[in-house]
Formats: sequence, C-alpha cells, structure tokens
Amino acid sequence: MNGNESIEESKLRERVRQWLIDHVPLADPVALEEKRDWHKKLYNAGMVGMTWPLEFGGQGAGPMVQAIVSSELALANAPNPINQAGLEIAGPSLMHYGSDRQKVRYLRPILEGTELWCQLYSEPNAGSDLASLKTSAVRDGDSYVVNGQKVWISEGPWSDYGVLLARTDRTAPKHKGISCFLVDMRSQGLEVRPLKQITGSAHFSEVFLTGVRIPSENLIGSENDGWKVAMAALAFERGGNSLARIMRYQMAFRKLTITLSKLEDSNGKPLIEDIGIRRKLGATWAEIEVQRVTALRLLSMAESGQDLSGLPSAHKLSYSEFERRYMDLAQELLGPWGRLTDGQQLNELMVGTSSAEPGTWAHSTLWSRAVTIFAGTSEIQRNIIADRVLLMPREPRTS
Amino acid sequence: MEFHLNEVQSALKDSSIEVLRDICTPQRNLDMWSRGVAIDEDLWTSLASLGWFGVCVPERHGGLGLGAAELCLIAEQIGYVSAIGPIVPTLAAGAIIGSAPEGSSMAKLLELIAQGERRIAIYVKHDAPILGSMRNSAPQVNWLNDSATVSGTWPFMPWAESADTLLIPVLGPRGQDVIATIGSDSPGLSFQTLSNIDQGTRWSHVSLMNTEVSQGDWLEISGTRASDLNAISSAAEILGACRRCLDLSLEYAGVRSQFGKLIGTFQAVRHHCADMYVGIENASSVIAHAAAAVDAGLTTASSSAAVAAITAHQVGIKVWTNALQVHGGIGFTWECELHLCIKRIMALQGGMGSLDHHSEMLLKTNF
Repeated sequence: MNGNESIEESKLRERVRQWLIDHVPLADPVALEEKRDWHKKLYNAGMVGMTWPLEFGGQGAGPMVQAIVSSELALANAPNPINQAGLEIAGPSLMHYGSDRQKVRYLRPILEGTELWCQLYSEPNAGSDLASLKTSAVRDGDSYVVNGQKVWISEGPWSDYGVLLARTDRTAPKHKGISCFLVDMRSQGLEVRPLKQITGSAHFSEVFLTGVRIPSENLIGSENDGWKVAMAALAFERGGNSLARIMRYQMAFRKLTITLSKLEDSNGKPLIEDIGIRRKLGATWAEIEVQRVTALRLLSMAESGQDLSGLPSAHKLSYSEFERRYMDLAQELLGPWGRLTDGQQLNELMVGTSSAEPGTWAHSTLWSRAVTIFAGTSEIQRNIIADRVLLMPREPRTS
Repeated sequence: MEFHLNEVQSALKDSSIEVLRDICTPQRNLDMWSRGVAIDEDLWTSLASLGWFGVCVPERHGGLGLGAAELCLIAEQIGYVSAIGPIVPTLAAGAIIGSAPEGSSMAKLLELIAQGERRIAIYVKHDAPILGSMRNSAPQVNWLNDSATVSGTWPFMPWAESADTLLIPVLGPRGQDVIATIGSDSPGLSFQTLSNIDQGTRWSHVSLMNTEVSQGDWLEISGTRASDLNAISSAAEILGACRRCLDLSLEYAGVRSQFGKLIGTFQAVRHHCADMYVGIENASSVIAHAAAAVDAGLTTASSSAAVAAITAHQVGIKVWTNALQVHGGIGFTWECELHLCIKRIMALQGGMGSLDHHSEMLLKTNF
C-alpha cells in the first residue's frame, strides 16, 4: 500500500506540466483546423492515446499515466485533444473486434486526429435501456440499409465517421439482434441536427438515418455481435477522465474561495471568514479528496489487472451525487452571484462545467444534474451494485 | 385556523389558472426569451383588464383590498407558468404601500397600479453578499425638512429597468422605515444590467446620484411587513414552479417506457415523484400559514415568513433535481419546458435572501 505517486508518475506529471506551460495556446482554438493542430501537437508530444497498444501507435501504458496527463491538461486550462469518441469508443472497438483491414485503415488517423469520430448509440426511446434500440440495418446484397434516429451525439457536426449500433435481427432476444457498424458521416440519407441544451449551447446533436447504405465490410465484429463490441468499449470509456474531472472540482473550489474572500456580508466581513461557511467548505474539500483518492485506487487496481467489481459504479454514483451537493452549496453561498451567466461582475464566477464546457456556476449547477444521468443514471448504478456486487434478490423484470 | 380557501379565493385561483395557462404557453415564453422580451405585454394587458393588479390595493384607492393570501395564490400560478414581467412585485406593491392620504401622489400611484398602468420594482433588503468595492456606494439619505436627496447603489434589484416606478426602502427623517418612490425618469438614476440564468427575470444594480425625493413621494411603512410579503410571495412563486416540475414529471413518467415498462412503474422513479409531492405539500402548508399570519398582523408573521422562505429554498432544490432525474436526457434539451421552471426557481432563490439570512431571521425573531 502506497498512497503516493511513484517517482515515475511524479516525473511524468512534472514533465507534462512544464510542456504545457511552454505550449498551451493563449486563446482556445475555435476553428476545426486549429483544434486539429493542437491535437496533433499533443499527440506528437506523446500525450494522446497513451493506453493504446504499441502496434497501433500508442505507448501500451496503463490507465494511470493517461489520467495524470488529462488532469494536468485540466489544471493548465488547456484545450482537450479532439476525437474523444474516436480515442475511447471507436478505437478500442476496432482494436478488439475490427478486421485487419479496418485496423490498418482507421486506427492511426484516430490517434492523429485527422479523422474524427462520434458514437451513434442512444436513441430517443433507448437510453437507460440501450439494448431496446430500434434503428434497423437490413442486409441488401453486399451492403446494409439503415433507418432510424440517434441522439446525444457529441461532436456530430464535424465527425467523419460514427460507430453505430443497429438492429439486424428483430426476432432474436434484444441483446442478441444488434450489430456494430462504422458509418461514413457524409453518407447520403444521414442528417446531423444540433440539439440545444438547457445551458444554451449545442454540444450534442441528433442524427437521422434514412435509407443510409453501409457496405457490409464496415461491420465491426460479426453480425448480431454488436452488443458485445459496445460493452467492451464502454468498459474502456470509464476511468481515463476521472482525475481530470476531480482536478476541475479542485480548481472550481479555489475560485470559490477567492470569490468568498471578495464578497462581504452586510457587516463588511468577507464571507470566507464566516465560521459556518468555513465548516461547509472544509467538509466539501474532504469530499473532493474522497473522490480523488478513490479514483486513484481504481486506477491502480486497473493498472495491476485486479477485478474492479462494483467499484466503478460506486465511484460514478458517488462523484455524480457529490457534484450536485457541491454545486448546491456554491449556489447557497453565492446567492444571486451564483445565478449570473457571465463573468462581467466577477471573473472568478467563470468556473466551467465538470466536463470542461465554459460557463458560470449557474451553468455548472445545471450540468451537475446531467452527470447523474449520463453513462448510467444513479438509479441504474444502484441497481448494478445491488444486483452484481451485493448479490441481492433481484427485482422482477419483464425483459 | 382554516386552511381551505374561501369563495373569493377559490374563484381567484380558478380564474388565474385559466387565464395564465391559456396565455403563457412554453413556446411563447421561449420565443420571448430568444427575443430578449422583458415584459409579456399581452399577458399584462389581459391581467389589467381583469383587474388583477388591484387585488392588493385598498378599496378606497380603486382595488379589491385583499391581502397576502390572495397575493400568494396568484404568485403561485405565475410561477407555474413562468410568466414574464414584474407582475408579482406590482401586485405586492399594493399590499406594501397600503393606504395613502387622499389626494396624495401615493394615492394616485395606487390607483394607477390597480388599473395596471404602472409597472413596479421593489427593493427588499435581504443581505445579499456584495463586493468590497461596492461598499463605497452604500445608500445615503440626506433629509431636509420632509424632502430628501438619495445616493447609493442597490444591488440585484429585480425588474428595475422594466419598471415605471421603483420602490426603495430608506430610513425616514425620524429614523423610521419609509418607502421612497423613484420614477424611471428621475435625474441621477442609472442601471448596471445583470445577466440571469432565468431569461424571463431581470436584475440590475440600481444607482442613484443625488436623486430628489420630495414630500409626498415617500410614505411610512412597516419594513418588516414589506420583507415578509416579499419572502412569502417569492416562496409562493417557487411553489408554483415546483408544482409544474411535478406535473411534467408525472406526465413523462406516464408515457416514457424503458425495459418494456412505463418508467412510472419503477420504484426509484415513483419515490422521486412521491418525495417531490411531500416537499410541495409542506411548502404549501407553511406559505398559506405565513400569508394568513401577515394578513392577521400577528407578531409571529416574520417568523412564519422565514419558515416559508427556508422551506422554499430546500424544497425548490429537491423538486427541480428530482424532476430532471425523472426526465433523464430529454430534460436537458431546450425544447423541454422543464428548464423554464428550473431556472425560475434558481433565480427566485437567488433574489429572495439566502437560507442563512432567513435562518438568522427565524432565530432572531424567536430566541
């Protein structure tokens, strides 16, 4: 047992920190080409796709180093690499289940950011119950004809390819009739529509597929094996961003304490000197530490190949519910300041969301409620823990 | 003690539900948000023609002379539909000003309010935290005989830039609580506009620079009554928005299926909704109780108002959180009207005085 970073881990952290000091652009890249350039710089510096095997252009590293790099990116307020869905969903799916031709053709451009990917899984009527998805792919000669609607697509408008789940056998039990495809996002009959969120921005899109033809060579894995492909990639998805998220909690905390030292009560005393507020802040910092240490524990277990059991679900449930309480406390302490939507009055109000979208506490408070929903709702996580870890008697289920 | 509505109140409630839900559709609200509209003029005109703005104005000044209970009934329905404009403060103004000397300019103002001819913004002191740099512009009032010059900044004032008349509480010539009326065209009046997460709500920092308040433009009032009325009418508006959150959640849980079943059949979802209901009913009890205490002029009114405000804070967060959780992803889309209610709750809570402020009031008045 050693709760400290190893010498190698500390060295990596220092090296990355220095590199970022030297290279982080003054203004966030806006145009796609600028974003690609930044991604390429990160890749060339060895900071992208570190966990990918050597043969596919990665470093064959464990999840800890990538998590350390991501958290340093967060600390430096550096733009993230683009192509998250490519690096975390499409790449791993192709590595495990793709044909040799697919691996050679698609993996390298994902790493280099020259081809961007998105994930076409969720549907309006298939969220928590993803396996009930209805988008259909019907074999017709040497291609499939796809019809349906997908939702919650990140980076939809500028993606080159998508990883698509579609139903290829209506008669099979729901998990067994799904196939996984790679689809050219410029295919005829494929339409991307931005989806405006309650925070006002349009980070997500909807994708409509009408008679889209996909060559059968673009199947990933075998026909009707899509569920297995998707689950393997989802297992890969969790963990790599955990330290970055917690770093953002810490940075927001720092901005909160600065704000509370600038704001005064009606007697002219800075709020940060109030004993009641200090107690709440102390308890909150302890909760952030709980999340940080647990994330480190999970990463180290994954490094050494141990069975994580229900810990990823426990961690997801824990940090997402904590994030809500954290944002609610900030709102309580900031009062009207917490409801403002720009930093004109006070620059420190611009804390950004836990997913690194720009905004104030008002935006991050709304966003905290998305965190208890995406990647498995709190209710689903509780069911997973009760079913698979605690081995409790199961609730009756219809399917 | 009676918690049921009398005939007048029932009629008022029914007609306000009918009128507001007919006019204030979510699509219309969102459209006004996108166009930056500060006041829903059609709604205002309709409410004026129905005589609503006179509800709390005394009968001798052309109103109905009703009280806090009726103010809260309407505020709740305003919150339910996320109506846009200074409706609640204008309604509350009648109750706060109360009776004015015959022929005075205050009496004239009350008549205009009753007719819906004046939009009112009210500043209520609730100890919002301020930047140290803002302390230099703390309000200053210099009295000479019965006129005053007023300078300073009043932070986070709701609806100030949309109003014809601003009601600002100041210390009177003999140290008593008075309320000063400031016309929107007063020399020395300026605004710093603030951006609010609820685009149907307007806040600004209001500044006055040697603005004259002549005799007749101020009136002695009960400062505590004014802040009690503000607290419970805000709480009532939050309650209405909470009811909308629950109604939308029940509707969605009744049509959305996952795992081959309506999500409303899942225990986790049912419990979220049941918890929302419990909070809403608790808030409903204490708001009605506080309104009755204010109307009866009880010495416990401020204590009851603080309980209502604290409950609105706690229940409001619980309810909007659960509502989003029941809705899942769809609740995060701009098209889903749920966010109108959520943002209204957030804005009202930010503007009504903090949990700490009302907790302190509660302790101060009782112990």
